[in-house]
Amino acid sequence: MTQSTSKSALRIVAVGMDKPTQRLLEMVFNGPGRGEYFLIEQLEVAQACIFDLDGIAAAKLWANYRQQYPYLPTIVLSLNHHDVAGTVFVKKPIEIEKFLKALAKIKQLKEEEAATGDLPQISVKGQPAHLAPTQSTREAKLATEITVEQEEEILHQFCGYHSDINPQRSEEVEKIYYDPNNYLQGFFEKAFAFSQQLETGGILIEGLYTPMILLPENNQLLCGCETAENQLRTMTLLPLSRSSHLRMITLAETEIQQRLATEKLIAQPLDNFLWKMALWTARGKIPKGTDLSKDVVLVNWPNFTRLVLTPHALEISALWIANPYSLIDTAKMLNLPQRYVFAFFSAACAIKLAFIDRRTDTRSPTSSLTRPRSEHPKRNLFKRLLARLRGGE
Amino acid sequence: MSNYKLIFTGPTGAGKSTAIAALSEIPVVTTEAKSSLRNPHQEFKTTVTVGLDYGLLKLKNNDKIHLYGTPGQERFDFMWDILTEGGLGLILLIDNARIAPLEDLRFFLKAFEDFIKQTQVAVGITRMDLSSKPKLSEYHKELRKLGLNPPVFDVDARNKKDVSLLLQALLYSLDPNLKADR
Repeated sequence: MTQSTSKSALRIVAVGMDKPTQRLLEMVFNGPGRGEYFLIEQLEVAQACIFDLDGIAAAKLWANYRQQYPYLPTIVLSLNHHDVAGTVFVKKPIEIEKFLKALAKIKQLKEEEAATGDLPQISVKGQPAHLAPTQSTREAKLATEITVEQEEEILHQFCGYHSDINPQRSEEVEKIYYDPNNYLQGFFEKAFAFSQQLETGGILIEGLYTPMILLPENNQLLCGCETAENQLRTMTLLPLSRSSHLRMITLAETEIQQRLATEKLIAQPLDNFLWKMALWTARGKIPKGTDLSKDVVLVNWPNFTRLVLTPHALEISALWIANPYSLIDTAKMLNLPQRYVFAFFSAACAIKLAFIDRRTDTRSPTSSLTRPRSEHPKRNLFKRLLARLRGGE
Repeated sequence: MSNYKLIFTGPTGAGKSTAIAALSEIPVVTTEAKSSLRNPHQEFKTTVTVGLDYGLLKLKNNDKIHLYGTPGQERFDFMWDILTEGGLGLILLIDNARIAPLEDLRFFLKAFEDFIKQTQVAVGITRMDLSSKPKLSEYHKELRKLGLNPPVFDVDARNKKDVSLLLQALLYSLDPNLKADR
């Protein structure tokens, strides 16, 4: 477990979480949390708790926990359970800013408690106290309902929640940008670009929870352990601090062979990794500086059988391969939420399949919508066949 | 009720019958015909067998999509013109573990040039797990030389999802303004 960096650091226990997730918590505590919190293993000596309410046996675990520690300040992490009385709720996917606010709130309560000697009472926005959902009510939830919720959640993880923006309003436009360089994505993109210049060998990345080796020639990423999806996703959401210990080291072919012979390295396709990382980081936003009024060039169709298929990615690809359109026009033409178009564009940019055509003249945002759109004589047949292939018929 | 056909082509062993089986509602039918033409690669044999695969997809309004897999042997390409007539589009499967997959690609694109001009093609690269090269980017490069930019996916012909995605991409290529019913 991490050592406290401050004498006043809050002792926090994590309940219902696996070890990799706990390691991520430690990273947050030591990074953006500035050492004001540290993770311990014993509930008995904890000053606060972070409880994952979405685990398989979470309901039972929660009931036992609350019975034994009814007043321990608790942050609940969950997809759905907003209304657990006396807790601070952080919705998944966890946004670091909100998570840090929740931690600060818990810390403040502990300080107040120390000053007054009272037991902590957490106000939940004036709502009446509710009992924690019982196991039986949760079990009664239809499996299909849960599946739909999980699918929606995954969709949100990749495409975010943002509403469409009006491109004429600069304050709205500002909200759709993110800077990949502030996140792990930017570091990996640089490493990828650098590795592509090498004639042989690869790039070793150190400073993550496991060493990673980029082999662009084979489109491979070698990891020292299985990359757990949740773990990796949370890492992509953490802003990189200036004191980040990440570094790139060039590896010669012989060094790679030596590592392959002596270490157990697990390979995964590099483009899939970068694609997914970009989706998680962007969450429906686009890289800073992307010109909304200019056309997108899609170099070729992404390999959709092996990449995460974002909503309507096939439609967007076909449109862009046939004719370049701007991001805003694409959303309008296909009648899609802008975040779906933005998510796809950000992922395609990360693997160098899409870019903005800077040669095109800046047009009014809707001008390309006036281009002729021919109706294919077999469109209705194609629609029926699509529905059949997607299981709709 | 109307009838339509989709054509699957590619060299022998590329996974045409398997891909058709992945989509078809009926067991794939392989029609066989004996030919007296000599196979130059098998000189001691006096006959070769030509196989034509057939599968079927039925739509809700009773329209039928007939799935045809062309015989792989290049000596029987006279059948291809007949088979493609009135077809909706072409699925080309290339076996990445063969000796010269890029040559296979060029050969089939040339052989179906007219049909592709009238419709569209989607390319599935099979057995990439056995042979990772040529890479997909090399296929795209080759296609660009021929003025084409179709979908090219890494496909496991046994996997229904893979084959379905390839076919969906073909439909969107045929009609880039196509929108799925929502």
